Amino acid sequence: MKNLKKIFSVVLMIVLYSNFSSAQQKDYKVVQSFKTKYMQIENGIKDADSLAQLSLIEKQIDELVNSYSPNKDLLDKSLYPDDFNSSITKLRKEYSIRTGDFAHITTLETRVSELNQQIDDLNKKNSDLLIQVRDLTEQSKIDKNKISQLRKTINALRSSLRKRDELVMDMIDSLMPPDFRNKGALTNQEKQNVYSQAQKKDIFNNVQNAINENINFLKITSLKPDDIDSIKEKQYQFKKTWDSFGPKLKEIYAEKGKDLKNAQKIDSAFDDWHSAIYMEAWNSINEDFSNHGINLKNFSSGKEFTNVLKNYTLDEIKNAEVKENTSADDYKTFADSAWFGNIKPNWVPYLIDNNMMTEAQKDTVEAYIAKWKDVAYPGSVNWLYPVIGLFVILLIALLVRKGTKKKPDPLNSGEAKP
Amino acid sequence: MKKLTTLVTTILLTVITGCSNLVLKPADFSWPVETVLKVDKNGFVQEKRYNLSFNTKELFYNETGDSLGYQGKELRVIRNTKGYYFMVADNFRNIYIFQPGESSLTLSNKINLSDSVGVSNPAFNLRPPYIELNYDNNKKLYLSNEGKKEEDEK
Repeated sequence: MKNLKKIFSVVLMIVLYSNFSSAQQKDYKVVQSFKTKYMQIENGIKDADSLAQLSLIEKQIDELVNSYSPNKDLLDKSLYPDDFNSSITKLRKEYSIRTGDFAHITTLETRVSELNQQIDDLNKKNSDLLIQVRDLTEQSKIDKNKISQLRKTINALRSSLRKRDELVMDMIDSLMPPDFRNKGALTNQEKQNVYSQAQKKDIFNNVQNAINENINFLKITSLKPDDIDSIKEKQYQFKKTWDSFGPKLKEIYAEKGKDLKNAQKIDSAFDDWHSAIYMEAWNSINEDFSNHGINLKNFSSGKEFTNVLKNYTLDEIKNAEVKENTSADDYKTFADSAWFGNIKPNWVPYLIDNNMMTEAQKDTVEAYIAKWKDVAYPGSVNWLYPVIGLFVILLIALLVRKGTKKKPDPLNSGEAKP
Repeated sequence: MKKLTTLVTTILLTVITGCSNLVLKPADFSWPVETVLKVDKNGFVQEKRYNLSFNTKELFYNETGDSLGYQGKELRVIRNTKGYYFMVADNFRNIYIFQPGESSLTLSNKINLSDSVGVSNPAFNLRPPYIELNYDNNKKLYLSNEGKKEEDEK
């Protein structure tokens, strides 16, 4: 009974004290302290690094509700334009959205991790294939049987490069999905996530590596216009993806005070890749001439190409007298096999479509080829004209004779005169 | 004649009724919580929620006798149900009660708290029909626009 009294008096004291305290409270302080705690929780939600941290914040929200429920009336009137319940609902909504973000980030992390492994595997494979292509190119110069093996290896390398490039682009997409990229400004947390993922997945090196291998591929292979078109398209897509991601990533790295050299290297690597694609057409044309046994000087523009061909034909015209019989063969190889048989149908439309050569330049080349033909086949014109002339005279004579035969003779006609 | 008298009376009643003031009541002007306003360099305070702005230079001069007494100060303001504004700041010896006028606030009452030392940590609470003033950490007063109602010391 004595204990019961003691407990009762303690409870009474607590109740009285709490009533007294609440009577002494300053409403302004209560409201301000609620607002401060609310903001702390709100910032905690934004700055949370993990789901574990977020779950702690959920407890803080519950505590906030419990602590301030006794002041609900005051807060309802003071938290204009919200009230107590709507403020808490807002906070819980922010919490729920952030939880969703983490679930999304976790999924992306897993995806990026998988992609990274695949990219590593393909990088190794590509390096091996590049070495094989180099070796086979050398061997095929000696052993023609190696050519088909070389072609197969080049095709394997091309498809492997394409696959790896797609994976790198997927990785960029996973690090910064399009809705992230189109967003005006990322929150600190989003920036931190992108930064740590980019660091972890060595994104700069992967992009740089992809570009370098594509450039190497162009350097060691001779391609056709269709191949170059598809490589151009790939380069365009890659550059587009990078342009939508790179500036944001550079901004994040700059904010973190990190070295931007690697990011800047990528910009210049894209320029190199672009130049390599441009040069690939000229190099492949030169290679095609070379396959016909025609060794031309290097050229890198329509003007240079026209001049090189013009000078080549002029040299051949000059040498025609010395070469005598072989000049016609050389002309045939150059004009019929190389120019009209390969370069003109395969490359000239590509060069003109891509503004690498003009119609006038093509006509110039063909005019010089025609001049060479006159020299390479000197008798052909002299012999042809009399034959044609004779043929025409014979044809006219035949027609005249036929006409004379058919005309009825009025004197010898069998018709009776009236 | 009788008809004329009735007609005149009716017209007069209608006119008198039409001219009398239209009163809407009851009205409650109270603010649920006091607001703490920082005085700017020109002596103005601005309350955003209730869109209230006024110059405090005269108030601080009246209280401190210093024409620059408003500088760097915070003014605590609350409005009671009737629409009177109660104002106090740290180290004030008086509570100032104003009523709104045409583009102005007119002093309606001034309640003295201390003759010598100003109050510390004052804060208003709305406790209808009164305004509660907490000050000096443990003192409490209930105020109306007419003056102190009750004092309670812990």
